[in-house]
This record gives sequence, structure tokens and C-alpha cells, in this order.
Amino acid sequence: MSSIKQYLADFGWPRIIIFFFLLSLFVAAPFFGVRLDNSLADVLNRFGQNGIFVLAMVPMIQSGCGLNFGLSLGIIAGLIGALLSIQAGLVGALGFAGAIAMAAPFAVLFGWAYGRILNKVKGEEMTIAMYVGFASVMFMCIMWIILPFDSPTMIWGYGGKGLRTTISLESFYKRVLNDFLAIRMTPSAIIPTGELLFFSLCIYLMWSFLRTKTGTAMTAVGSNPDFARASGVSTDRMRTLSVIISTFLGAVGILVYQQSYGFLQLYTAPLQMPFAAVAAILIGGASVNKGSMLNVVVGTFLFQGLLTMTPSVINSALQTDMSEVIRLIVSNGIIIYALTRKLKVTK
Amino acid sequence: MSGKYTVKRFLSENAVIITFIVITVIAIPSSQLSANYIIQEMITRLGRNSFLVLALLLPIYAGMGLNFGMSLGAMAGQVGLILAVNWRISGIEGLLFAALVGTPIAVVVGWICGSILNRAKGREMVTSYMLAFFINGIYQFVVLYVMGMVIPIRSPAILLSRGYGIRNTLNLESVRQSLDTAWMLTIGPFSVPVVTFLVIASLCLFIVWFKRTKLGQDMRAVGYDMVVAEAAGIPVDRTRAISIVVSTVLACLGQIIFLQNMGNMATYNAHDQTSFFAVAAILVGGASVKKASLPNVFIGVVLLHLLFVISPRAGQNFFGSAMIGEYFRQFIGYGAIALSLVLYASKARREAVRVREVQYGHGGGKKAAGEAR
Amino acid sequence: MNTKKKRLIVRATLVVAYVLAIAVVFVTGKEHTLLIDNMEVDEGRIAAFEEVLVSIDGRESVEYYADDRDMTVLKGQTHRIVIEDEISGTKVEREFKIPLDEDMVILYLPKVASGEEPYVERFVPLELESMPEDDGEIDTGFLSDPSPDAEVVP
Repeated sequence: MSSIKQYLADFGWPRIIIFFFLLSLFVAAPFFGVRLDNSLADVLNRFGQNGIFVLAMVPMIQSGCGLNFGLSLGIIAGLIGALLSIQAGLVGALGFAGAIAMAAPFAVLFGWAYGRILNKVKGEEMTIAMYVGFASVMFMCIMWIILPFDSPTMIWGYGGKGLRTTISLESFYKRVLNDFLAIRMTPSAIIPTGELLFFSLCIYLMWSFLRTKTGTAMTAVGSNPDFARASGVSTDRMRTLSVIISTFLGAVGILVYQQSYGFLQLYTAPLQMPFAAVAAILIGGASVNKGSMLNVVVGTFLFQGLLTMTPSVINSALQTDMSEVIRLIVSNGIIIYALTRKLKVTK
Repeated sequence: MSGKYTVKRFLSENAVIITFIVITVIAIPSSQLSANYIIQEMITRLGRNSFLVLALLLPIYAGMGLNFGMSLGAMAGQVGLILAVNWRISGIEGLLFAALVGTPIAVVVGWICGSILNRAKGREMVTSYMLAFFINGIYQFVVLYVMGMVIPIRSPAILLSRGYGIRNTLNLESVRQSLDTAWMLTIGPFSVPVVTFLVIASLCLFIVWFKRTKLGQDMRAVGYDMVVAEAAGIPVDRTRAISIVVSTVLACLGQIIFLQNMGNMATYNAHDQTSFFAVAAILVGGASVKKASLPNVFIGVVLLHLLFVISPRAGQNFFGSAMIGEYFRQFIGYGAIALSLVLYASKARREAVRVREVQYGHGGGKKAAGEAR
Repeated sequence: MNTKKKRLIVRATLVVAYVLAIAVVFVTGKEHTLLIDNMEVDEGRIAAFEEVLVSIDGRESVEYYADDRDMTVLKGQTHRIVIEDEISGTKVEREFKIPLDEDMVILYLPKVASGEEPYVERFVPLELESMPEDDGEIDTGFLSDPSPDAEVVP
């Protein structure tokens, strides 16, 4: 009971407003000819697509590294894994699993190096993370052109050099998670059960990890560094570990995202992706130094709900395309609100 | 202190600038561009960009780091330019009109930005970055809906056919290069926009003068140590906010100068890259988050834009792909920002540890390592 | 006078001066499109010039034949026009004003010469030249969904 009260206190009025805003959108939807079943299925699909990115924010928040604005490093690792899997000709569930497996070493390597950098710049992590992410994305843009991949589905047939900007996963692992045990709610609305199960599994793994000895040590490093040091925990090691986990989750996240859309996007596509995850976890009630599984679930649902519902409902209600602007203002406003909140002393 | 140590220190302190010079020197020959072309480009780009980069100085003095929120000012300037084009005010008057209209808007958004950053001490940079995104939403709202619905737009040439909202590209023909060509001096094969450079020079003088005023001194004191400044009776929050307001206004004027040189404006994203180019330039010029000077600005503009001019051609000639050059210059820009932020932050942290060690003896050093920012 | 009042007055003056400055640049920088028309007026009541040299605000003279119509852009409201009939050699110099809120006005050369007022009238174009439409598409950054159609050859 007290934890619910605590959660509501941390929730803050902007999120309550967003919650009621979203609720009113759902209530209003049928009056503007928007089908509720389709909307709900759409929200659930996006919830599963984006959830793991949001989950990836948790370890670094817990270890005191702040919001992972450099999540694009993980996304890049995931893209490399996906490309290697295609190059190896793996298809279906094997292709998806292979992509995760081949992305893992890159995620660990990138995360380790990125973690080392962040350990050197304590206090300035977020700005630096952002620019490390941007620079890596641009570096990989060059790499996508010159790396020697040669599977015909992913390179330009003629007239171009290097990898395509968009690579279809049609014959590989398109919707392999989405279609697993998918439930057809109504003729046009399908619940992507597999995707949601996979996300739940990731949440469960993260939840239990944070309760292991290493997990609690990681949280201690973030919330009470003095105590952590006194009990012989290496701050830097824990922080690096949190960055590696976050980066790996970023890699898994992009693979889940792609299988659902059915294509993968290279080049500048990952540039802005971290911001969406940051906005989502902050909408969920996390702060720069405190984030929980509940924040992830609530935040992803609210944020993706907002993204799905505003265009359809607002546009038909106001007869304009104003929803884009509303989305911009709401999601960035929430990020600023969270950044300007006074840090509470953790007990 | 041995000589070797000084050399090492010099290298580490100027790592970004040295890397840049090395890359540029390697890339120039392979771009196969003529010296005359490159020099003329540098003159043009100095005139176009210096003012914007100078807008970053004051917040650095006030210890608020790099003002990524400068695109707020750029947006204010763009609103001014849209209205100038709408009412067909041309030439220098058009630019003055845009500046006079944009400045009050810049003051207001600058004050909002300063107040918000005062609530995010220690996280100013990332907050100002997100703030630029946020105000961007409001800008889009104003330009896409308010203009034509609430603010009457009389020129159908800039209005979307649906009756409200401004077109994606705004033709600035009526004010195009009116500042640059007010007095164009031709020296040998080069043309120099004298008035633009005079404006930039007077801003430099203003900054030199401002640093000596009471407010300027206060600003430096705040930047050095907020707690000490507070104790000395300096209104810390107010001083910080003023530095952001001035920076925002300068960014507004700078964007007007930038766009009059370009001659047209991408209505919805002309401001997107403003802070990226300005921040990259000042850091490449050898500035850090806490320390910047006038030479940093000009060295930075020249070095950054030199690389920007040559990299597409060098990329074409090296790899046979112009896109590589394009990606490369963005990589270099972002990379330079990341590298100099990392170098500065790690140096500041080491120094903080050293100070603590001196103050508290070696026992406290470890403690400091966890707390230092 | 106390300092508070003094400060108020100074500030008010500054605000007024600022608004005045905007007004000044607005008035002096305002552009107007001027159509210069050398056609006969009212079906021959005033004949057009056969050949005429026209100079506005001391710019280089432009030659007009009968039935010519030309367009130019002027800055500010008060302008001076010099007309020289190349056949008879007569020279007319006149000063005219364009109302501040008019975007486009037409000037009848024959009326200038004959001294008939008003020789500058408001002009409403029949139809604007159609311009390529671009939609007001905004950049929503991280909020936009990926689309497989966005393929560009690098």
C-alpha cells in the first residue's frame, strides 16, 4: 500500500495529466470513427516493439550513469548482428536468435568501451553519451558503405555503393515474434502475443537480476556510493557492467523492433532513437537516478499510447494534423520536467 | 616540471585542435580544390558563421557550459525574417526589422531557458539540448498554425495553399546578402563582405567590454564558483539567466546574418543544426566547457569549415563516394564535440580529486573521486 | 523626482523608441511592385507615347514603346519619375507616393504627361502565378515511425 502511495507521489502531476489525456483519447475515439479494437492492438504492438529500449534505460539509471542517451551504440551492435545473421543465411526463429547471438559480442565490446569513457566523465555522462552516440552513428554510416557484406538482399544492385538504407526481412525473420501465438481479437485487430511475452521475459530477467547480489551492488553504487565503497564494491566496475547490459538490451531492442516492422534501417535511422526511450521512461515516472520495472511498463504504455492515439483522434477531432506538434511538445516537455526535478535524497 | 611533461600536457590540452589540423592537412591535397576557392569559401563562411559562434561565449563564462539552447534564438530570428518577408520589407531595413522583431522574442524565450537551466544546475547542457527540442515544438505550432490563423499573413507566396502555415522553403530574395553586399571590398581575387565583418568586430568589442563591467565580472565569479559568488552577494541565478538571455539574443541576430547570406530558409528545420555547427566550431577552436576566448571562435570556424568544404570532395576522390565525405564531416563534427567534452570532463575530475587530496589528505581523495563532477 | 519614477520614464522612452525604430524600418524598407503602363487611356482619350524614356529615382532610363507594360520593385513610398518623350523631346518630372499598405500599383505614363490625377492606382492582379506547392511537413525527429519507402541511394 505504501509503495503505491510512494509511486503516486513520485508520479507527479504532468504524468497524471498525460494519463487522463490518454484515457480521454480512448473514450473519445469511437465518437470520431476511430476503431477501439484496432487502436488497442496498435498500442500493444508498439508497446512490445519499443519496450526493450525503455528497459535498457534501467541499469544505467540504477548505477548512477543517468539516462542512456547513447543507446544508439547498442542499436548499432544489434544492426551488425542482424546483418551477420542475414549474411549467414539464417531464417525464421533461428535467424532472430542468431542475430541476438552475433550482436552480443559487439554489444559487450561497445558497452565496455563506452562504459570506460563514461567512468572518466562522471557528472557529465548524459551530454557526452549523446555525442558519443551521434558520432558512432555517423561513423557507422561510413562503415555501412565500405564493409564487405555481399548478400544480394542487402546491397544496392546497381548505381549505389554499400548497404541499402532499408533491408527487407521478408524472407528472414519478419514478425517471427509477433506471429508467435498471436491472438486474433477481432477480424482486424491482432494481439502480438509472442512479442509481449518476450518483453515480459526481459522485464522478469531484469527484475530478478536487480535482486541478485550484483544487482543490488549496482543499485547501491548509484544511490549510495559511499556505502557501496565501504562494502568493497568497485564503482567503476559496476557502472561499466550497467552500461554493457544497457547496450546489450539496446541491441536486442532493435532486433525486436525490426522483426515487427519487417525491415531494418541503417545509416542515420538510429540517430534519434534513444530520445524516444528516454521520453518513455521519464513519462513512466522514473527520474534521472531512479527507475523501476513499473516505470518502464507504465511509461512505454503511456508514451506509445500517446503516439498512437493523438494522430487518429486529434486529427479527426480538430480536422488538422496538429497531433505531430502536440506530440513534440508533450514528450519533450516531459523530458525537461524530469531533468529539472530536484533530486531527492535516497533513503 | 620536465620538458617532456609540458609537451605531453600541451598535446593533451590541444588534442582536438591538433587532430583537426592533421586531418585537414592530409585531406586538402586530395580534395583537388584550388587555394583561391578555399580562401574565398573561408572568408564567406567566417562572415556567415562567426556571429553565431560568438553567441556561445557568455554562458561559458557563466559556467553553464555550451548553450545548446541557442537554437531558441535562431528560431526567434526566423520568425522575424518570416514577418519581414511577409510584409515585403527588403534590404538592410528588412534585416533590421527581423532583428527588432526577433529580439524581444529571443529575450522572452532566453529568460524562460535561463530560468529552467537554473533548476537543472549541473545538467545545463543536456537540459538546454532538450529545451531546444521542446521550443522547436512550439515554433512549429506557431509557424504551421498560428501564422495565417491568428497572425495575418498577407503574402500568398509564402503561405500554404490551405490558407494557414508557412511553406517549407522561404525565399529570402528581398533581403538576400543585403548586409554582405552593402560594401563588398574586392581584394585581388577575393571579395570581402566588409559590413558583416564590422558587425562581427563590434560584437567582439562588446564582449571584451562586457567582461570588464560589473555584470561581466559577476558572471565570471559565478562561473568559477557558484557558492563563493552567492556568499559574496552576487545574485547567482539572475546572472546566469542574463548570460543565457544575451546568448539567445545574439543567436537570433547571428541566425539572421547566417540566413541573409544563404538566401533562403528551410522554414521548419533551419535551426536544427545551428547549435551543432556553432558548438563544434568553438570546441574545434580549442575552447572547453569552462574556458573560451575570441581566438577560439575564429580558429574554430576556419578549421571546422575548412574540413567541411574539402571533405565531400576528398571522400569522392578517396573512396569514390561523395556520401562518405558527407557522413565523414558529420562524424567529425559530433566526434569533435564528444572528444573535447570527454577530455575536459576527465581533466576536471582529475583536478577535483587532486584538490580534495590537498585539502583532506590522501584519505579524502578516494571520497572525492565519487563525488567530483 | 524620485529614482523610481525616473527609471519608469527612461524605460517608457526606450520602449517608445524601440517601437518607433520598428516603424521607421517598416516604412523605409517596405517594397512595392510598380507596373509602368504605356497604353492609351479610355480608348484614345489620352494617347500612348510612341517612344518614351522613363527613369525612376535616378535609375538608368528604360525605353517604352506604345502598348508596353513593365514591372519594377520600389522601396519606400515617395518616388520621383522622369519621362522624356523621344519624339517631341518634352521632359516631365513628377513625384508620386505609393500608399504604405499597397503591394502593387500601376502607373499610367500618358496620364503623367497630361497631368491627369490620379496617375498611380491600386492594381489587383487577376490571378497569381501558380507556385509549386510544398506541404508544411515538419520534422518530428524521434517521434516519427520508420517507413520502408524512404529509400535513397547514398
